[in-house]
Amino acid sequence: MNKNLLKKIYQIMHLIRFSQEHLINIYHPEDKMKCPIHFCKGQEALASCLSQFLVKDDYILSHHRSHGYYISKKCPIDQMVAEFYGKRSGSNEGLAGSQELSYSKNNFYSGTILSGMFSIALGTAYVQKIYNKRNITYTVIGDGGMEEGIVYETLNLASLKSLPILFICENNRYSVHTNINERTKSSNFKKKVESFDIKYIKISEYEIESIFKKLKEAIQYIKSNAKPVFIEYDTMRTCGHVGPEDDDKEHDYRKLDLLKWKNKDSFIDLRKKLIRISNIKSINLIEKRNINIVKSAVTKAQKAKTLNFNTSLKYNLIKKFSNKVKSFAKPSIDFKSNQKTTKLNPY
Amino acid sequence: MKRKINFSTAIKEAMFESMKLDQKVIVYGLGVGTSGNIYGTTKGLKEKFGSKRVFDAPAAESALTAMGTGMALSGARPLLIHQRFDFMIYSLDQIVNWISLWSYKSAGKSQIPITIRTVVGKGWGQGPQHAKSLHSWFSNLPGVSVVYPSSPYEAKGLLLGSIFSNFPTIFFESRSLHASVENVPIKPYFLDPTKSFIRKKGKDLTIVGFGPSIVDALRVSDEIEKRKKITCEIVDLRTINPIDEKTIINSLKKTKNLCVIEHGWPNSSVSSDIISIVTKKVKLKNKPLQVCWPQSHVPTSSDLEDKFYFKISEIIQKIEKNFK
Ligand SMILES: Cc1ncc(C[n+]2csc(CCOP(=O)(O)OP(=O)(O)O)c2C)c(N)n1
Ligand SMILES: [Mg+2]
Repeated sequence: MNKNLLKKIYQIMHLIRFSQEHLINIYHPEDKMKCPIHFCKGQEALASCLSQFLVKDDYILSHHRSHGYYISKKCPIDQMVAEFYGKRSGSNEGLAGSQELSYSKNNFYSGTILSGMFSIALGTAYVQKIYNKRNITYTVIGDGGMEEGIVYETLNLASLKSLPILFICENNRYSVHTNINERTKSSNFKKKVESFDIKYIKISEYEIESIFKKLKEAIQYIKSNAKPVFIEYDTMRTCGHVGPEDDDKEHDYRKLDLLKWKNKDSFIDLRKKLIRISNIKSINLIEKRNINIVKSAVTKAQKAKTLNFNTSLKYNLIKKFSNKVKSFAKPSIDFKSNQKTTKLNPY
Repeated sequence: MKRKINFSTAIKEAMFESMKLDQKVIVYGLGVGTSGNIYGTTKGLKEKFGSKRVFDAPAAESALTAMGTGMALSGARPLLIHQRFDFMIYSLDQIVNWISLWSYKSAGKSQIPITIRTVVGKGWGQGPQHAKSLHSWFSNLPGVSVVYPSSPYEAKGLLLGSIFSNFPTIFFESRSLHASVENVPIKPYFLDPTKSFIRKKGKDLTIVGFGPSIVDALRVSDEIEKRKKITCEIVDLRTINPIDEKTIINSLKKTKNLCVIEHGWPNSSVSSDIISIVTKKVKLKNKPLQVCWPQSHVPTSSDLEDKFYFKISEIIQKIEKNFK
């Protein structure tokens, strides 16, 4: 793969990695980000590669571990961090936090109730399809999310309607601290997905080149066949499930897994490679820029104001209408009391 | 120009007009465009607007609702139809955790203009699985509007108003009203799905109702006015979320007597809510009346069904007793 492309991917990947590490480090004892945050350290590679394919009109609908995809969709770091701090300058003015992070200008959305976003992808993709937009909906889910029933309704509909969706399943083998083998007899996603007549691609490699290649194959397949693809991406979360705490220390739930993945960190691998084929200076420059972006986002967020409470109440239901509605008709009071009730039949 | 049509024709016209007005309107759900066509209301729609914008669907209510969320998010105006309300319950996660929250959590930056038409059955053994009406559940929820039209004129204008609102709407429809008739304009028109109105003016008693209980209110009012020297004012709620307090309170300030009629269970209901709202703000002359179903499931047996639903004569009796 060409050096410049690798550097571009590295820029995103480092921004994700550093932002996660930095926020993990400052979370305590500062205790100013008072919301559940699912960091994605260790799982950055696919999002970073994806960044190279995305255009603005593509949608990303992500599960709770969303920061990598937010960054890959080129959404502003300032607003992400401010959102975690619960500030008005946050992408959702502090009302969503990490769990429901979104940035509508760039068509990036996420949500924490398992598998909802996976299914909402049906609609964005349906609109892309029937109004002839040549865009794709990317939706991200975890191995735990794959257990919800709505997932299978969704796969059926996506296949039935031939929708331009890339389903990305980040399989880190854990749902919170429970291993996949304790949760199902059949962890074979290939079988399940293919039973809906959907193309399945497995990414079990950790090297960026292989990940990029398979992603490209998937996207090309969607574009030329106008059909969905499902990617199962084997990955490893190298931080706690939620919050900055190291839950391996506390719960010791995946010792063997950690050992297996010890030398398979896509980020470290790519960094080494780039130093070899490029030079350390240019890598440091990328990193320095990213570090500044994140640190200045934190400083700004710390100083920012919170949203006015009364304003927040108005966001629930905004009484606006399509421009087709020029005015409202008056009620009619013709209706008489001598109405027949409907005769029913078994239908 | 107006002419007399029934409720289901009014609904059908609203869908035709909406699809003509805006090519971003999409109508779908189980039985849409197939033989039954949702009691005939979607008949001809697919032929006219094509199978991309009008389609039948697998029995996957959760995913279908999620699909509507996604369509609405990307600029379409989806209308999802449930032939029976009871089936919609499968999609509670989507309605509660996603659709109702969307505008709030995005700080108003993004809207979900979906409309969900849901039909409540009544009679002929619809029984416990085809005649529930949990409209009150959804009136508890911030972020969605819930409308319940009472007549053909209301049905057409409100469905159009709901489809072209930028917020999500759950549109309750009583199957028992489908045969009711009224003068309805041929042309499209919009009714505000967030406002209640005075359907009939009166001085002594306010009857608050919505959806199918408006016919009851009209009958009760006709009878009472014949027999007693009192006149009834009827508030047609039209919307049960948000509740239009002002219209209700203004009427009660005048009449100082309240009777709420609701086709549904009494506990934690719209009627108990209205009574609570009113009694907090207006000193009533007599105790407020709540007319509802018994707090029990709907029986299938037609004899029992007959006992289950309240009768006009019972409401009148209650009112007369209260007015001594
Ligand atoms: C419907 C629902 N049930 C339970 C949860 C609690 N929960 C949050 S994250 C999570 C684990 C999900 O695991 P997975 O989908 O594999 O994603 P990962 O956290 O591993 O990235 C659970 C159970 C939830 N958010 N939603
Ligand atoms: Mg997992």
